[in-house]
Amino acid sequence: MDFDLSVWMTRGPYILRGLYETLVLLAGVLVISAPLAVLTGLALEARSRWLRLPALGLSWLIRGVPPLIILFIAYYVLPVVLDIRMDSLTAAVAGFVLYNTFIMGEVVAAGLRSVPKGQHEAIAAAGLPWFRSLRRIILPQAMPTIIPPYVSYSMDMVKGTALAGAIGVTEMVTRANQAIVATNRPFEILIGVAIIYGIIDAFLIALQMWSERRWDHKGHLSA
Amino acid sequence: MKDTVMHPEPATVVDHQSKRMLELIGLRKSFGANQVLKGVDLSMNQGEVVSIIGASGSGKSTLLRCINWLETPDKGSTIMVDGRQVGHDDPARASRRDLARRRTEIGMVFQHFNLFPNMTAIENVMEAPLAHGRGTKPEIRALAEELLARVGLSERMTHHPSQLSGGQQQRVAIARALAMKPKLMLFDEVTSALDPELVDEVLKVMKGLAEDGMTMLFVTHEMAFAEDVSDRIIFMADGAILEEGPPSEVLRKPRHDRTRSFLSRAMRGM
Ligand SMILES: Nc1ncnc2c1ncn2[C@@H]1O[C@H](COP(=O)(O)OP(=O)(O)OP(=O)(O)O)[C@@H](O)[C@H]1O
Ligand SMILES: [Mg+2]
Repeated sequence: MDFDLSVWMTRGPYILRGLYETLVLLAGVLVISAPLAVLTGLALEARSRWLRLPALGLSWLIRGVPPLIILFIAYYVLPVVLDIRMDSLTAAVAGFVLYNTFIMGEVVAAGLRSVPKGQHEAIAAAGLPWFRSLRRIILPQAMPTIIPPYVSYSMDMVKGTALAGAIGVTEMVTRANQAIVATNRPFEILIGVAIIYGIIDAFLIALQMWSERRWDHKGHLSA
Repeated sequence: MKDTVMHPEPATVVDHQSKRMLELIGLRKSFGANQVLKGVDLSMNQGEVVSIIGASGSGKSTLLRCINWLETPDKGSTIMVDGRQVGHDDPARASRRDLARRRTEIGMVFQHFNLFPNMTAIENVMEAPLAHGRGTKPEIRALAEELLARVGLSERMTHHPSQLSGGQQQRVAIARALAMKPKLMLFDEVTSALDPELVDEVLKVMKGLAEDGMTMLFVTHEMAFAEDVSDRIIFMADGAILEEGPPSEVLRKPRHDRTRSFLSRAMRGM
């Protein structure tokens, strides 16, 4: 079997343009779901059952449905319900945001649970305000627990962006597939695409290492 | 601390000028069907130092934790600090905001320090006054520096808790509690988690506070220390105060068998 990378000269630009969709999806989803996931995590851990039970129910529902179905719902149902027009990329972002908010919400909830009870008692005993303490004391301590699964789900998300092809987002894998059909060079094209995914993952791992350092409270690195 | 001198006279000096700092009336607390506090009455004057002793499970921690409402007392219990009720007779009607404000009047130090590990020593001390707007940042920093100096930690202000020994952490925790200028300080077995050689540095700080006139209520297993600094000792059994009085009486001439048998175990080797 010959190995001919010249397909990347002719088809590369077309495939790489899909990187835009992939990155918009990834960045959009990570940036938008992060604060929503914090809210979801707080609701999941809330003392009030009026917050906790709906959050638990929704989380159970959303996480139980295959992401592809959520994408279909976002693409076909959401525009009708909201009575708006939505291009496929927007629908994909919406669908993934919904899915990720609850996946990451559970991660945040686990992080909140990891903060020792004594911290909550010290906060209460000093009469410290809830939101300020959340921001300055609780979340920083939850971060080391949150980051690794957060990054690992983000990597799933990178790969999951390919699903958006099913609702017409011409992201990288969709384009690669078209290029394969046109050139009959699957091996070279797929290796190239795998390398690009690897680079994005490497970037996420670097982000993880940076943030683990940032949130290390042993005081050795951050002092 | 074997060489503790006995007070020739009861340390309690009845001072009619003194303000009532703490008053507990019929304090009850149940966990489900388990009644842990069975109607505790206790009052403390300003500047008084009271230690609570008693067997494990007798309700000492629960008593302390009810005073600042870390545990919600049962309906009908009254807790007064500096003449004003903390919380409400009916817990359902206690306002969170009011509780938060009252809690700033009550400093609490925990067995396991509970310092904020993501903050330096001085940040730990500054957090509450900052959050409650007790002055400008430079003012609060100056206060925190002064408090850390007072507990002997001027050289460790920018260290994180993980870089401090247990004794140092506990002293930071005391400084943190003092930063709100509390009217009353609660200490729950604050030396129990420390290596023996670190206990004295913490007790020394507490003794200094007592001498400076702080109103202090503490739970302790350090009998010699309790005898040394307390005006009054309370022996708790099964969620009630069984015996109370000056150390020279409760520790040296207990009236109840249960106190005697507790002390014979606790004071072994004293
Ligand atoms: N959160 C809780 N839920 C249920 N029961 C509790 C709780 N906290 C304390 N108790 C029970 O209340 C009783 C008194 O506990 P408490 O911690 O006040 O005792 P203590 O005198 O401080 O004991 P120790 O010397 O071991 O610290 C114990 O029987 C304990 O099991
Ligand atoms: Mg206890």
